[in-house]
Amino acid sequence: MKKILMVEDDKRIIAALNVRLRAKGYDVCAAYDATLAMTQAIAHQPDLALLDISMPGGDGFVVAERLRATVTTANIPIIFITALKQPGLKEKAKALGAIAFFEKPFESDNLIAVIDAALGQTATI
Amino acid sequence: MSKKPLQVLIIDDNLSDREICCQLLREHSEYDCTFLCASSGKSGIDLCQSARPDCVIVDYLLPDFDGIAFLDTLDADLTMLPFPIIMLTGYGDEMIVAEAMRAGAADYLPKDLLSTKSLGRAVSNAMEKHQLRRALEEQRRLLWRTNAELRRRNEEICTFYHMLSHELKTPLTAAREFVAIVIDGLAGPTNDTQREYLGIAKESCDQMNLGLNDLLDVARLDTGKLHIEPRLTAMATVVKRAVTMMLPMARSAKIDLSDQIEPDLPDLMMDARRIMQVLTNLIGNALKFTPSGGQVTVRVTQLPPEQDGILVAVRDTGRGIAPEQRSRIFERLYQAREAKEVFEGGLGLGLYICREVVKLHRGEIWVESTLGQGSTFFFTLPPYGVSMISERKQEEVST
Repeated sequence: MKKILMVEDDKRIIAALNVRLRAKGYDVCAAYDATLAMTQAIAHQPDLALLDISMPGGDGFVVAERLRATVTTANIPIIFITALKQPGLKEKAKALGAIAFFEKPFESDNLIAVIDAALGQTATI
Repeated sequence: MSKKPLQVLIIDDNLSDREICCQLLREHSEYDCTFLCASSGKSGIDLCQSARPDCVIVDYLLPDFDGIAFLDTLDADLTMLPFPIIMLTGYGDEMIVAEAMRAGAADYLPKDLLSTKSLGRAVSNAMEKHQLRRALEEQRRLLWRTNAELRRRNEEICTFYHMLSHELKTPLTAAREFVAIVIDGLAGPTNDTQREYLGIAKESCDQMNLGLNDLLDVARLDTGKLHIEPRLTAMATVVKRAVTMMLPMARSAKIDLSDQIEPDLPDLMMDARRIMQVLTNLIGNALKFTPSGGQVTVRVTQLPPEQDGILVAVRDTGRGIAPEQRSRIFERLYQAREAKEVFEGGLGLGLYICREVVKLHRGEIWVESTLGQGSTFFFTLPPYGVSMISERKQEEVST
């Protein structure tokens, strides 16, 4: 079972993603801030990371940089999801090698499709 | 009426000329003059700085300076000169006079025309001119400060809108997503009625999101931060996509939405995302004000060669717009101003954003309408308009 790390400071969004991703047969783990994100990433070795951008204690870009700089997490595919609407964010995400960038509110069908494609599977329950 | 005190500095290397000036000004009708005298440019400048006279009379030809060098040395920023300067010229040379006036002298007087009347009037005029200039300068500074303050507040509001949008979008996402989860049956079985109601809730979330995005766009427009990213684009593709996107809304309103696109249109430089926004806004409005059974058509044609570019027309068979409203509907906060009379829903920002986005593309937007029959919103996009803007921006940067 493929595992997805969700890094997001809003627990309601974590809860919603949790329902969606589990329904699609993915295992999930969550972190509510940037520091915890690294601990979780190293401990769980996820197959993909969903990163919020605006979070207390370091934004999603910082998490992405740390993931990239750590040998065991350097190649995890990253998807950014943000409620920020500013020019340049998408470009920054791309520069960090993110495979996708979603604005909140996102269309979960599109998000799941990107995840499925990245993990090369039609998830099985 | 008692005379006003006036300290006059006279700079002239000729002692008798200095004394003549003093003599003539003692009889001044308006001012009670006291005098400071200097015989060189250097000592004159020292006195200007230490004694702060009210008015300075300076001979154009000094042993160490000419009048222009004197003005240049005195103060680089002439608008800040604390006193008016009257230049005494020996030769009545027009070139010298013009240059002196340009360099900041308040007035000039040929030495051979010195009289109680002429010098007195020169001093009065110079003082009056100086006071007006000071008042003007003060107003200008006040205006500049007010402007800076307004800009700062605008920036603050813009930042606040961004924070507000972020803070609202996060719970909005959670609400929308949980509604979608229930609709998709991930929380157990639902009946048709429940799904219909939840569908309305989800649509409402989307509408709220659009409103927030409009708010952010307006905040960006207010602070000049809304930029377009033009790329060579096929207009037909953009229009078809916009129409497809609006079809569900048209279907549920039972309105026939169609497009008529002229074949072989040239590609244009445009920000496709922003032009989509204009199109969906205009189509959305057309659908909103057209009764069911009506028609909304998006027509795209090439402008005649002398005008060049593309004309887009969004035509509806709605109730039309009253003549007095036609010019105002594109104004910012139009809805807020009109809300007391007729509230149509929405923030009333859409058409304002449309106008500004079209303007950024150097196009034009307008409406033609017949009450009871319908309205047509037109906008044009020039073929190279946007690239011309970026060239102009580059020129501004390089100068």
